[in-house]
Amino acid sequence: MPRKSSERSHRMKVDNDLNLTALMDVVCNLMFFLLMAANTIAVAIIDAPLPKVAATAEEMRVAKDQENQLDVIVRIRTSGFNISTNQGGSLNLEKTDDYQYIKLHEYLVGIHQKNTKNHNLTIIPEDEVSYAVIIKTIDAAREYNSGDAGYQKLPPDIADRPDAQNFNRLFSDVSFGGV
Amino acid sequence: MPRRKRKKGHGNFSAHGGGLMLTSMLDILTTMLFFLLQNYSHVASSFNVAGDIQLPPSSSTQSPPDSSLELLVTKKAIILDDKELLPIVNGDIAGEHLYKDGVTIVTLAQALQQHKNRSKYVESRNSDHKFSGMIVLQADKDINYRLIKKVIYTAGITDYVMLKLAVLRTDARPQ
Repeated sequence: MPRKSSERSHRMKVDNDLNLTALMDVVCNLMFFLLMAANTIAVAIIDAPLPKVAATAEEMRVAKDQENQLDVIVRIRTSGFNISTNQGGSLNLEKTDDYQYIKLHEYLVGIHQKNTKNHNLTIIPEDEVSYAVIIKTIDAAREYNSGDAGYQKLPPDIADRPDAQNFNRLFSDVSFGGV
Repeated sequence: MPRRKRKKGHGNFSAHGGGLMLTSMLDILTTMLFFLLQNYSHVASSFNVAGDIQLPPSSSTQSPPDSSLELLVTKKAIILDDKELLPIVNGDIAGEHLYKDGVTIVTLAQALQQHKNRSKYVESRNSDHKFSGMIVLQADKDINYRLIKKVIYTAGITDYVMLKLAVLRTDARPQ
């Protein structure tokens, strides 16, 4: 007589593994969202405060003090750069294929070496000059590059601190003139 | 002699239905997710770039402020705080939108004045809030200074003098 099969053999086999498909869907959706949000990481800013009419006594005093400071003006023309200072001296850098940003930088380094405490630069662009050219000019004037005379190597203990921005400053305080 | 049939479910694939092995893929995706979440926390300042603006590249590394008034100058319009104020035609502002001096943009000046009044009102009620006159300008890289000059002049006369120019970091994204 054949043996009656046991209850165990009739039991359904249960799959104990997690169903990962739904989780994958969630993770993929989150990934796309975060990848889109990561777009904003690449934005930086440049300070370019506008000149303000001195109103208070303190502002008048500061304005008076600034009259004696070195004032460097970069005129951005469609034909090239003109750099001048209130203490005499002027240079024209004609545009060839592009503006001569490297020569502008070198000239500004030379001016700054004579008065290292001054970081003010006034930019006066012509109407037809594009915004991209203005930003490139500000970049060329912002800081010393490695290899420039006067370039200071950043001490490792300062590298991660906000003080690091005070190192190798050239003409980092930019304002628009003729506005 | 007839061939012996292969038993079902004993192939090279997994014993559980022969599906894809999702576990390792999920591991990779989870790692990427944590990396992106970490980056996301660094940009909690909610500074967004408008889709139709191509910011100029720059070597600046200064981070955008946490909160400030955003003024956008695209090739088509001037937008303040997500509200389109006036159109730009042929890369400039139409004469009807300008004041008699030929530089002040009337609509923009009015809108900025409203923002300033609102901010001053909040300042009078809440000592923690201070009107800083800070404004972030996002302008397209191809826009001429003729237009930008008018925008920053208008910002200046309404006491928004702490101008900050938004740029694209070249060290973060190659151009």
